[in-house]
Amino acid sequence: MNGRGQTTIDFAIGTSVFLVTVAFVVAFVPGIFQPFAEGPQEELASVDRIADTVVHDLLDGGDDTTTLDRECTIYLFNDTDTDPTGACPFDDSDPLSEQVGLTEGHHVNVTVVGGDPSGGSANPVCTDGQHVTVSDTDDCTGGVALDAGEPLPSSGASVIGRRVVHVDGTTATVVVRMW
Amino acid sequence: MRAQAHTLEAVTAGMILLASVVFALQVTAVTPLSASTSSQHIENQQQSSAAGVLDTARETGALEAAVVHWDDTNGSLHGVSAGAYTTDAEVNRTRLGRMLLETFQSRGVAFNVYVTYTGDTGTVVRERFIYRGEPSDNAATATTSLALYDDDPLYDANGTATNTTVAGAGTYDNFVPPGSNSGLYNVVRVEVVVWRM
Repeated sequence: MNGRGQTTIDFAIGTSVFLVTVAFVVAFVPGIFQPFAEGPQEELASVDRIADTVVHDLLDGGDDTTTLDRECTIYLFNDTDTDPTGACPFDDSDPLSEQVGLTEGHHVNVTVVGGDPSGGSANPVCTDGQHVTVSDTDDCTGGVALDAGEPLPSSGASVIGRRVVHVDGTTATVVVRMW
Repeated sequence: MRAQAHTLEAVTAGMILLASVVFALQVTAVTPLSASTSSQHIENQQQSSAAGVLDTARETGALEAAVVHWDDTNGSLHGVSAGAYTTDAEVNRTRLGRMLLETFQSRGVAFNVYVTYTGDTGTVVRERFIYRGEPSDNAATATTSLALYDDDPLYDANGTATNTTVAGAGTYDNFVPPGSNSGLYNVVRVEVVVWRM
């Protein structure tokens, strides 16, 4: 006991309250502000719309199924093949972001991949200008991969939307990425 | 004792403050980055994928081939003694199973396939076709309906039509019983449930 009237217990309680407060601030305060930070909120909605636009409007051949029109699919993804008759419901000379009605400042990439029944990573889907096939390897030999839009950035967050489609006898997955 | 009283007062005040902060966190509105809505997005994508597989299977005839993939002699699905397909090899027996494996396996997504029909008393009966486990709480479902006619053939283990029809088969009514006697055998609903493993 000294003249200040502070016991050892008082000191212990004071110190533990202080430590608990510090731990609480370090652990929880970043989380409190995280929901209000900038995030891919807009893309979350857009990616669904774009996936549906590509599968059900641009490429379905007018019958509203998940079976894609083979020719329109090739025209959309292959830059060297252009739509000769204008029968497809998009302007082949426009970039993809315009074909899906995307405003500036948003980035989109649409890739078609096949499946791998053994559970490995998905193989690309390729076209030789006539047919659409799933590649057996990781790249397309003697053809181009069905890939449109801007190249993916090497870092940063993106939002993914997926649709399973049937094109030219092949089951494939359309992967839409936005950032 | 006054100092001790002050200390206790401080502790009480601190606890009230913490309780208010916890309460404030709990009542905060759900934002697009909250965990629940992020997984909502994933569920939407899985649901769309499953619906796409079903649509594709219907388009290619794989859907109907799966529903009539029945071994009439043994009274079971081809290749299993009883029950549903569970292993990869068994799932690979039907084209529908193969499509689902190709689409979902590499993404770490599990799937079940059920065939449901409405029984005589109006109750909905759910038969397992592919059963890979109990779905999680965040599973997504896609369904499509399929009409079976009396003269639709059963398929053999290789996926080709046999001479046995669904109405003439001896044991097919263990899987899907006839729903009417007017030429339409029954209407089944094929249900795909997908979830992240």
